[in-house]
Amino acid sequence: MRIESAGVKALRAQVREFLSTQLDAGLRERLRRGEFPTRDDLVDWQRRLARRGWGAPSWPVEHGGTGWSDIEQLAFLEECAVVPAPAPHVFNITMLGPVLIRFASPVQRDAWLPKLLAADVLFCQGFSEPGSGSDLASLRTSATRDGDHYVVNGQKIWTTSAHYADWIFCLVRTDPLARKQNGISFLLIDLCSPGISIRPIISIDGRHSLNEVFFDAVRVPTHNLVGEENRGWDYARFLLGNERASIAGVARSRERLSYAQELALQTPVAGGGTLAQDAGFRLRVQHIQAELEALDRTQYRLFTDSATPSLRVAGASALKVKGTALYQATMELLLEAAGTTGLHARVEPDVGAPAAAHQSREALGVAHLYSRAASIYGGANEVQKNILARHVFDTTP
Amino acid sequence: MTALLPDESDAIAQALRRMLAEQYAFSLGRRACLAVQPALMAPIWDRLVELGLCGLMLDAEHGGVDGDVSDMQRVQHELGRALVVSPWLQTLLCAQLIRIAGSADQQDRWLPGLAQDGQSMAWVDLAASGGSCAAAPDDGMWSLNGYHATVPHACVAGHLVVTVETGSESACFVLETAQAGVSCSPVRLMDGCWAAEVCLRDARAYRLGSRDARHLIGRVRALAVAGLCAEACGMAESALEMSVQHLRVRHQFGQPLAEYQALRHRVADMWIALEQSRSACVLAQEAVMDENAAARSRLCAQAQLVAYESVTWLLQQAIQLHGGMGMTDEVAVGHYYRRMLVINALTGGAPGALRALVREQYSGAAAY
Repeated sequence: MRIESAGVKALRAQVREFLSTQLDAGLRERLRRGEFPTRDDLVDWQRRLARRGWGAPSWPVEHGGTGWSDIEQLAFLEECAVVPAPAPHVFNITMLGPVLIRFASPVQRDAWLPKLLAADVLFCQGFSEPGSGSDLASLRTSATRDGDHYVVNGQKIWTTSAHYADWIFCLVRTDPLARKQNGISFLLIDLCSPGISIRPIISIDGRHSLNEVFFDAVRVPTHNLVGEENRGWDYARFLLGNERASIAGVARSRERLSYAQELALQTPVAGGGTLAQDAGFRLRVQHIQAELEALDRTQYRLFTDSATPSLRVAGASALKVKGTALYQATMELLLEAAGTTGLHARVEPDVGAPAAAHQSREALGVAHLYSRAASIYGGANEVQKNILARHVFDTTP
Repeated sequence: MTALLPDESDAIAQALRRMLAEQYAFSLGRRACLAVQPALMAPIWDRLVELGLCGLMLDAEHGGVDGDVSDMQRVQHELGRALVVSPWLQTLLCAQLIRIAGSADQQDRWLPGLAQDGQSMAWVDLAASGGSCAAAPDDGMWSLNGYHATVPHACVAGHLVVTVETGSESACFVLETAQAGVSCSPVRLMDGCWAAEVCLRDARAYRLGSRDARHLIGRVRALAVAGLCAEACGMAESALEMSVQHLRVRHQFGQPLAEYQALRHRVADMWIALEQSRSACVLAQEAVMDENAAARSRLCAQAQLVAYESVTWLLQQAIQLHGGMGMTDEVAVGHYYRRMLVINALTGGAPGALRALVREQYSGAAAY
């Protein structure tokens, strides 16, 4: 048992109590089955959290935060993940909010933070481009000054939820002549602006969550610039470094593993008995559980004051690489436990399939497919290992 | 032993590859075929029939060309590369069950239609797949009661071949799908295949032959493993090609991904996995040709373990190497992976094979 203070234990109890009364059972079931929450789910949940004062736990108290320590922040996210319940809205709360708090003008903070907290506006993230994935700083979407507007031309890709979001925060090139990291700005853009078009991307799980967003001479008021022009890369690095808290995904993996064990009790195997009784399955479950336990302590050690800044950066890479490996191993076990019911394709009502084809059964195979993205998004694991290797070589005597 | 000369076998594979390139391209022909309703045959089936592939392992007397397991694997390899969704393998396996377990009359009744008329059948292997069945004699025929959750291509099949094992005896039955006692509810699998949930209620069936069919069924199961290993190998080969091509073309940080040593090593590891899966196909061939049931069973399980584990891993890497694009529906690597997941789930995959090997090695129970 990880040693925790009485305060953290009490917080966990409060969060559990909140979740047991506030989380809709239907939403929980859908999340367990591996479905994505809908826009309405996210807005409703964000508002429930905000009413409780937990809408943005990591923000400063004066902007709606809780004042919790890193450990308490993590405890809160873990309690949510293990149910599972959704976290606070990732784009509004975890990504954009902290950037505005740190780098935006007071006017912008006052205008945006309450709306983000209450999910009155939903943002999505416009970073990656077809030619700029791992090498994000090579991005080419341009923003040219024209009086009191920027004119934006270009294209973003892998924009999760752009099809139902209201605004997008974008990295754009404002100085094409500067060194690539020094010519980028951070711009807030209304998705209703003329010149924006959104193309759905269907993922290998058959679902629509990703999009391409095209900008064709889109006029954006200059007061939507966050911070200073051409300092956007600093803000992006700050944003990307902020996802630390749940990057290892320990609680998420634990929840999926426990669901796999539950399903395995009902999964027959050739030769008799169930998967839950199978030695091979049991060995793999035990192995993953031990590694998750250790990874959990790794992330806690990285939160202590004695961790140097460079160790924290490298540590985040390690947590991502190891965390995603364990998550993907867990999802493979879950798929096995789903047996043949995990095979079914997902049939959306709006894809002209005959009525007989609609499947209401578990589509865990579909959800499994999306887990393959974990080692790709958020900085592909190969890039993370480069960062990590640099740290090891720099710090090894 | 095959009656086909090496040239003839090559010609078949090449003609198939050409036809698939023209008629079943990933973004066009294939998508059109996948949009067909569950109870209808996709156009690709007619193309396979036209090429004479349906009689591949049947004898000339019944309209076939007397090919053997290695010929079948060559076809499966091409079908795997092109991600073909069709009842070809299912039908071939049913034809083999009829050929080796059925009487001369039964073979004459059903085999020509399968070899030449484009009829298809689906194999409901109840004992192997955890489904349940009871069979009772009924007025010259048999009456079957049973259930199977996922039978690929059952909705388009004119007949089902149901294999049943009791403690003492095994038997194969042929049933017409168009009868009151057989219901097939369509279920779409994530590889695009229309499978069915099959319910048999006093379904009227013909028993193939009259002797215990245990070893005969074992031989056809080995054929199934050989066929699926070959399909998986074809998918892996094509996915590796696509990954290499992508790495050459995709540039980040001012250089092609193909120049990063970590990725070069990954490709090297994928090549090793591909070669292991090719060798697993050879193990499966040896299994099919082995007269000894225990040896056959062991080789099958080893082939399945090595092929499915290697190919599943390779396809995961293929997705990873394609970055965000590997996660889209528009790129083939994700579709290869989906097909592999279906194969794994329907057969028990590598973990199932490992379990079978342990059971057999340490308690003498046959794996297949």
